[in-house]
Amino acid sequence: MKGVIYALLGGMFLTLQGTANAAIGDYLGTWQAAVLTQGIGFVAAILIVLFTGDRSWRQLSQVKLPFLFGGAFAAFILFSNITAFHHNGAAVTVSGVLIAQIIVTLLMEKAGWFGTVPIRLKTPQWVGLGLMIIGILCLSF
Amino acid sequence: MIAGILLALAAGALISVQTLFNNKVSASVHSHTTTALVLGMGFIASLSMGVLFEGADFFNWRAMPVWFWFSGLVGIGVVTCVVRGVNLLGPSYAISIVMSSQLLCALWWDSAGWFGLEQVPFSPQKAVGVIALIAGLILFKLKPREMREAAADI
Repeated sequence: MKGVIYALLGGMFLTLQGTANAAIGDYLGTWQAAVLTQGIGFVAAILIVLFTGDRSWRQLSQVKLPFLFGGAFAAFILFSNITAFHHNGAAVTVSGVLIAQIIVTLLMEKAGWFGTVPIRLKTPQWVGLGLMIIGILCLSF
Repeated sequence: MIAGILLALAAGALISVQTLFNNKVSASVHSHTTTALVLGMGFIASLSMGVLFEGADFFNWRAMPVWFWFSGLVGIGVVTCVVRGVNLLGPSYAISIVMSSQLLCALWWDSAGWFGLEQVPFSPQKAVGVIALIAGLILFKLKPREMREAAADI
């Protein structure tokens, strides 16, 4: 249940962030908006680490190097997103991103990549996936 | 058209890989540290891309409204909640909920015209979308493991 609440809040924050970034991007430029929001977020997150006395960063050396750069993908994601938006507009881009995201996540988890526990998919999961894709398309267009 | 669609699909696939990478980091360190690392990496990468594309022009910033300074705090909520959700629920299920919540909030705020968004009226098509999304989520949650347990109970 706790996980569900985190996931729901995560989605809400994502939409809030998308709305704010669109407004900031119109005013400053898309890259400037990305640098501003992630820079402020980074500084505040460091302060949270300091204030909460979280010393787990010492274990960062145990994490295999490539995984540390996950955050840097944000720049490529943003670039693809802006370019796709420019070509096709919001509906196609938003639905394309979301559909690819759920399918690729599912396939990687099915294959047990990157330390995930492989899941078994049966008919309800595939039907559920199909319905979610229909839902994404209905809500995006 | 095709190039744009491929780029959108690539962006979605990259978000998935990023989610699993962040999950891998959070297996070793606390979620606060994970959040700081993810946002720090995003900051450096975006700064590099911005300077690469725009050169010195990148640093011409207009005076901006005060709330811009606080918008970055939302990113902390995003990364922390998604990392914890994925940790507790597993990637696919967590991401399905995150996406549904994302779409439903967008629909809600669009219909209400909040945050200076242009008001978009609620339509039958959107109602179908909401029902399909939630039904899909519920079906998806019927995990094979739980089905086996249910079968064992009978």
